[in-house]
Amino acid sequence: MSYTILVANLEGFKEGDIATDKELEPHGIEWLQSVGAIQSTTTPKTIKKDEE
Amino acid sequence: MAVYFNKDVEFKIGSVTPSVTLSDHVSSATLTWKYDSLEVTSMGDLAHKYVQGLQSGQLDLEIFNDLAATNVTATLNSLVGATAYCSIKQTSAATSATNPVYTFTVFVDQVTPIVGAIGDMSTQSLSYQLNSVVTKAEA
Repeated sequence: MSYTILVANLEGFKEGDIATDKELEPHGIEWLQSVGAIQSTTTPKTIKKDEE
Repeated sequence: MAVYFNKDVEFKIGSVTPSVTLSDHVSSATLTWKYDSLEVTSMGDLAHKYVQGLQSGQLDLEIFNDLAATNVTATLNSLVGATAYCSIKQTSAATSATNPVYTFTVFVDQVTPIVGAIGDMSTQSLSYQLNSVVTKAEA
């Protein structure tokens, strides 16, 4: 899983960087998400409407 | 002589490691660490004698509130009531023998996200007890 770095003051990263969960784990991924530092890059799955 | 004036203290804080840099919002930072002095004066001594006891310490900060993501207010609000990991060094230059980094944890027992009178800067005056020993690293 990968995350976009949303802020400029996160140790070892620049704003806009893409980081893996392995790279972010030492900082605490849940905490980073709670303070708005990262956002998952996973895109929502599009569900096609059944053709009638 | 290697005296200096304060202008570039680097302060970081985080939930698991000192991962968020808040230096550009800190107007004053003081790290104090000390040991209990345990008296061991005994018969025959001509002066009090002491040995080192437990370590304790305090981190005092004056820090400007900022509501942006991962900035002062959001970061401290997320840490209140818990132990936070901090690091602080004299300048933001590389860690070295002349610019050691001090790392420790604090118990974040207070925050003041709303503070001040009309016209004032919203500034938190914080004083945290250290929750660990202080580690000094030179590399």
